[in-house]
Amino acid sequence: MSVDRRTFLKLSALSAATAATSSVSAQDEVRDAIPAGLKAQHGDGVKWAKAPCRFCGTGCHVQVGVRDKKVVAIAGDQKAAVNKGLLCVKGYHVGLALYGRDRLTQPLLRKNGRQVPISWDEALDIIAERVSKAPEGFAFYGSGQWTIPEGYAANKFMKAGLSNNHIDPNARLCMASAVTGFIATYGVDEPAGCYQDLDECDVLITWGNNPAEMHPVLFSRLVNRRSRGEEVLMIDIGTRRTRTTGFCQHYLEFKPQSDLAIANGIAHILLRDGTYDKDFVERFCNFRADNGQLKGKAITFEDYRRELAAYTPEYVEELSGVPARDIEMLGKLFGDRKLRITSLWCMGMNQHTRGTAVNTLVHGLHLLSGHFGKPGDAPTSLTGQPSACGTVREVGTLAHALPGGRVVANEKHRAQAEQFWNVPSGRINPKPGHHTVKMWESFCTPEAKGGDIHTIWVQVTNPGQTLPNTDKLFSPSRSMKDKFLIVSDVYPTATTRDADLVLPSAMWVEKNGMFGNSERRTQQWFRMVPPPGQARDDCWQTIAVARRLYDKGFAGMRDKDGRFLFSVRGKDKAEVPIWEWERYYDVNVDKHLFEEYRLFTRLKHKDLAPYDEYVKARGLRWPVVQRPDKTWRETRFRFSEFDDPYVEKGAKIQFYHSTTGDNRAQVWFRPYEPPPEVPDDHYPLWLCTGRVLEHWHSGTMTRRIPQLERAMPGAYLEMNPEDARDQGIGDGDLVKLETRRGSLKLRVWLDGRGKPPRGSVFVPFFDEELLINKLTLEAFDPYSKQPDYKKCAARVSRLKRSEP
Amino acid sequence: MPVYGVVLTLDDDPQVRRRLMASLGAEPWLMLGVRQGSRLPVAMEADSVEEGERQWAQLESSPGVTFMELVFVDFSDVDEVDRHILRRKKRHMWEVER
Repeated sequence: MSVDRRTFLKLSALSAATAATSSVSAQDEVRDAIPAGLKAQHGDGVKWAKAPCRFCGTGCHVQVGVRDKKVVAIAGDQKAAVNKGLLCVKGYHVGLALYGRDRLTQPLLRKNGRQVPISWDEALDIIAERVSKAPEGFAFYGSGQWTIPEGYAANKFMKAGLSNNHIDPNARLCMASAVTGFIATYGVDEPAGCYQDLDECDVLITWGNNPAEMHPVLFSRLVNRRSRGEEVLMIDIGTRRTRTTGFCQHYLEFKPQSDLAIANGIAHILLRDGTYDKDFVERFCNFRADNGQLKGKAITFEDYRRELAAYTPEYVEELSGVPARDIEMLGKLFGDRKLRITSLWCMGMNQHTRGTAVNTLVHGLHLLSGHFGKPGDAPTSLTGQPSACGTVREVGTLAHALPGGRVVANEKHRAQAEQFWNVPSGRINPKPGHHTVKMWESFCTPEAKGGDIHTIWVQVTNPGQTLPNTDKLFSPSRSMKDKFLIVSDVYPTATTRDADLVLPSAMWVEKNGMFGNSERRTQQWFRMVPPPGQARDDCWQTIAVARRLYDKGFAGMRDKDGRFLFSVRGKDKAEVPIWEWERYYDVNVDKHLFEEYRLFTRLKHKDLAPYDEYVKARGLRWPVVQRPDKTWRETRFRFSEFDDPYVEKGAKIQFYHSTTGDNRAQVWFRPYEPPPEVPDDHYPLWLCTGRVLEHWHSGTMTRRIPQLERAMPGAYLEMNPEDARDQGIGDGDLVKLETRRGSLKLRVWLDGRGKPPRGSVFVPFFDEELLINKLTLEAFDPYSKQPDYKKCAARVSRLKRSEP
Repeated sequence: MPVYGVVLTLDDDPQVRRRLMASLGAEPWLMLGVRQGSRLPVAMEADSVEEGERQWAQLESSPGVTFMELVFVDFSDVDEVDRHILRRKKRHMWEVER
């Protein structure tokens, strides 16, 4: 590299940083100058194109610089409303994550205990045979990292092709309780607000949430507001001090599971003081309580008041450990309608055996207090994966769901889906498939003992590392002869290591794609570089297997006119053989699948625009409706008349998918209940698990980046210094962590980034060499079926230096 | 040879900020932009990935830096991405007990 070019690049970097600094102050002229500047500065054949980041659910847009079929530079996209040119440290690696030397590049089949290369033809035949053997025992396990077209194709493959609903995503493990919380409250899934709430709130409450590390670009909106002199009151309600806590004026530390008591305590104060929003409640709310069904039973306002009577601040202090005066403070804040309050949450509230309950309670606080429907006044759940919303929640890649908010158990919904898919009536099975825990439990149970799943095809996720209690839900299947595991992935993982068949996949800008982020924003990108070796798109893999089945005469892969279920016709109306890899990109398969999927999105008012509109935009938030002038308009705030086109004139607020059919949302009463496993004399500590800033989920991508890997080279155990001192444990000591399910040797980190209170420890789950999920509990929420990774009983003992 | 563009959010305390600006100004691998409020654009260059890592950590932990965001990176000349991975594969210090 010449000195001139380095100087040139430094100036590029500085100008991009300057523009990003300015962009937050909305200097559009500076922002607009940047893409042109980047192009000029990279005049040596670098082409720039937009894509959403590959990692979390924030949905930052990046500009990707490509030269000689290789990604060589990344810049925050100045034109993207989500991130305004900024990226977190992982954004850098979104480019480098493509180039780890151990990319999977050819199909591998386990033979005599070893994984040996085979051809794609052989691999596809093997899968088709596994399906044909017993289609009802075949399962598909995906994730919120599936692109929208990939998830849609997989869903159609299973539900229309195999008449089998055993498809579920890893998102079941991270945000299923948010889904059931939204549905139980509003009758329809996903947040009403958007990221603008973070720019306009006076008070931000994080409920068991650490956005400073997990969604840093969103969190930077708050940091930036403060740096401009704006007053934002930030309150962290958590079980462990985190980086987010450091930015907050108040930290309310609660005993695990008692967040329900806190929410009830706030509601109690609103009723006690008469500071709830009577007008809002009378016009827009009903009251609800548990009856074992997701939609619950009706109760009166007086019933609700009576149930809450016990949750005095003093009683809540007893249950939660949060001082009564702090509960009073929260009650007063919610009772003040001059303020705008945004609640944020993610895994902390969702990975919870009472996840649905606590989700509904936090929604209920905002409804009861009228802190809803205005910019800055919103209950908002975040997602951890780039398309948990787009692919899982909207496309419906869940065992009970169909695209567009439909469910398999509903006859009308099935009929609509059968019509859109042009398959015979009755093709879709009305019985929900196995949710994640049940699917893997069945896979780990011999057929003779009722284990009805014989094959699982895993795409874009790593269950060997991320399922809870993996010694129960994952490992046993690996020694059972009748169980066959297929894994499509980009790198070797804890799951590919044990797979019977491994398929090499293309990732991110090696393929076309679409994601849907946490604020209902659907995003699109085009393939920019070729995948390595024989790696191929996950969507192609699904379609190629479908075609193998079609060719074998498998009836489910034909529509009612006898055509292939994934038939795509070119401009000349002739069928394009997209099942042949060499022909897959002759047409834009994503566009074909997306346009078909769009048909599903109207029922629940999740309308999407035509594919080409997303090509032009940095994402659009649904519902996207067409104006009289034929342009397309996105929606920032659902259910609010000032912005949502589906709210009737004069209604102000309209919950038009209300479960009670009267345009009202449901305010729930849910009692505090203790968790399924609590510390005792044998296991006296709480164990919480979670993520770290440097690594994304199970670390399969970010651990291939030296910068991140060195910054966070392995899992550790965070422990309270006083607990450590009591046991003679020092910083860096090797200890044994045990639960009733297993044990793990870890190094202790005292006074590290996170600070657990006395009686609790924390271990991150990114390290495949230190699999914490061998120790976690698989108990799950009865409605969402989401397991609780945040709390189980554990003990720690110091190991002598001589112990191996 | 990575080159980065980052935005630093600086501490509000004027004294802390002054000290930080002085120390950043003395680093030859940094090019400082024009501060806007408490946000400072910076370009970093490194001769190797390893050096870049050290610099990144140093910058992030500098007293007075409260938040650090990336906006640009050029790694067109980086060819050492996964040397470290190969090393990591040998680091099976601890194993799970059953």
